[in-house]
Amino acid sequence: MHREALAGNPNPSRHLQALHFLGALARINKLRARKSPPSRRATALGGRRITRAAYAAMAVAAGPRRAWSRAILLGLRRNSIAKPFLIKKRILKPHRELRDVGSRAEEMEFGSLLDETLNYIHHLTAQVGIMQKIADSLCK
Amino acid sequence: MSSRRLRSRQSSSTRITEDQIIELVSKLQALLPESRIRGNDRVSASKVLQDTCNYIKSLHREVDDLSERLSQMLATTEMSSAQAAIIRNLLTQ
Repeated sequence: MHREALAGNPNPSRHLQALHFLGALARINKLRARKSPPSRRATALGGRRITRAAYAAMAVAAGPRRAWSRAILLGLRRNSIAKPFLIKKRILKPHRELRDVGSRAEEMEFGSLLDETLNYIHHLTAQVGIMQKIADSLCK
Repeated sequence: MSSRRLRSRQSSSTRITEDQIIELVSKLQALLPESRIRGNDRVSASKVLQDTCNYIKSLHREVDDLSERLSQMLATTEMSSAQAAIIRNLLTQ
């Protein structure tokens, strides 16, 4: 797993992430079109639905091998937005500086955490880029 | 002493060395927006972690803002006409 992290990140997952998100957007838009007079509450809900779709697209692109993507996919199944950062915070909290890491077991968990964080940021920044591009396309 | 026995049982592929951790931390540092100002100067690992937390939080806020914008745009624009342009835009990386 760590050799993969050092080897670099795959690019095809970005296309999968973009297309999954686009599909979700189309579905959300279809639902919105059915309820013809758009209330103010509907647009607020729409924003939240799109946020959920964003994290879902990230998790699907990352696959089930990541702890953070599993957390999102399970959280979505329970119909709640499981913000993975909160989960990370719980793990990060007991941790101090790198030189305080004593036992090898702690080192392994810390290494995995860093690895997961790198991967999460990779997908998160990709998602921001995807949404920005769509917003730009809709502007023209 | 028992930890030494444990170490010998672990295969080299699963053992995380301190060097690997240092490399992962420097990879994180390279991703941070602060690194554009700091350059390659070595920063403490705890500072990198702190900056990483802040960076992730700001990215979450960005996702929320963009979701809000997209929600309003979809309410006013017809998406089907823009779909071809969107897909073309997304797949040219």
